[in-house]
Amino acid sequence: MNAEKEEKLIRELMEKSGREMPFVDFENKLMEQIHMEADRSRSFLKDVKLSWFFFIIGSCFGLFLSVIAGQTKEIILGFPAQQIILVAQVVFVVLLLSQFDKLIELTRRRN
Amino acid sequence: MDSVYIKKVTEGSTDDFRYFIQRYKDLAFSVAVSVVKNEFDAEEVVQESFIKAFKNLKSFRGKSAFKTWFYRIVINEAFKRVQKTKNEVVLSSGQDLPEVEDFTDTFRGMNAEEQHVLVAESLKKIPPKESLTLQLFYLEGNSIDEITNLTGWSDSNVKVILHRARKHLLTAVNAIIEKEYLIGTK
Repeated sequence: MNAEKEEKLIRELMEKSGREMPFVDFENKLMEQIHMEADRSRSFLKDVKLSWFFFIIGSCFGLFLSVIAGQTKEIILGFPAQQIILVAQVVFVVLLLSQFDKLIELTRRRN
Repeated sequence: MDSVYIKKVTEGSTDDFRYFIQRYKDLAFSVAVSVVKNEFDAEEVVQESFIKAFKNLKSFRGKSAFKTWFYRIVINEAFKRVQKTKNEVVLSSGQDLPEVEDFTDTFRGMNAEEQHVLVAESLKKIPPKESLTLQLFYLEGNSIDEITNLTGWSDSNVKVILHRARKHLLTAVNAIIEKEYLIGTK
């Protein structure tokens, strides 16, 4: 068979190669999944917003407590209050930074 | 028209995504089945591709047409599936194949359904890259450049694949015709 004839035959063959989706419920099944995906995405967005809200509230509360507690000079359970406050402040900063990092990651994932 | 629906979907009208499913499901199925060679796997590939397109629609910047962007997703998902199932057809290179006889008259003598089945069965017998290239070039009317853009393969690679694909397709069709007709006439 010469090249021209071959090309013509291939075109003829490939005209018959188109396929239609044979599964009649495909569209509805897929739309159900798409709606589920949309719901998941909306609830994720809501969770991210709530997480930021509580993070900010928690941070403000933590800062407020540090400032208030920093003014006391009492002895608590045999330790000076200043030492206990210092430990609490270190824990607070570590938590603040690690949670902030996680929140940034979550917010990026949303986008 | 696609851009109107993209806007609607990204603004929260999930139901409008049905437009894309109705418009592209057959095209996507043709592409997917040419790679994975199995209707059930192809259905899953198309399904996953639509879900991926929906999730990433916000990141679609419109630099290319939606169709091109979506095709890339389908092609990637289909090849991922092939790798997962290790379902790849391995054939010799185009040069090793024997000359095929001209079966044009036999093919034209078949009814439309027989022709469809014959071509579908033959495409199943050739490697995924080759059947995909044939599909994109002949059925979808893409140029070599467009296929390069869709698949990420080099220009020369696409040309080589297309050349082999033509040979393999003709050999596969010829083999089926010979087998069926010899059996039928004996």
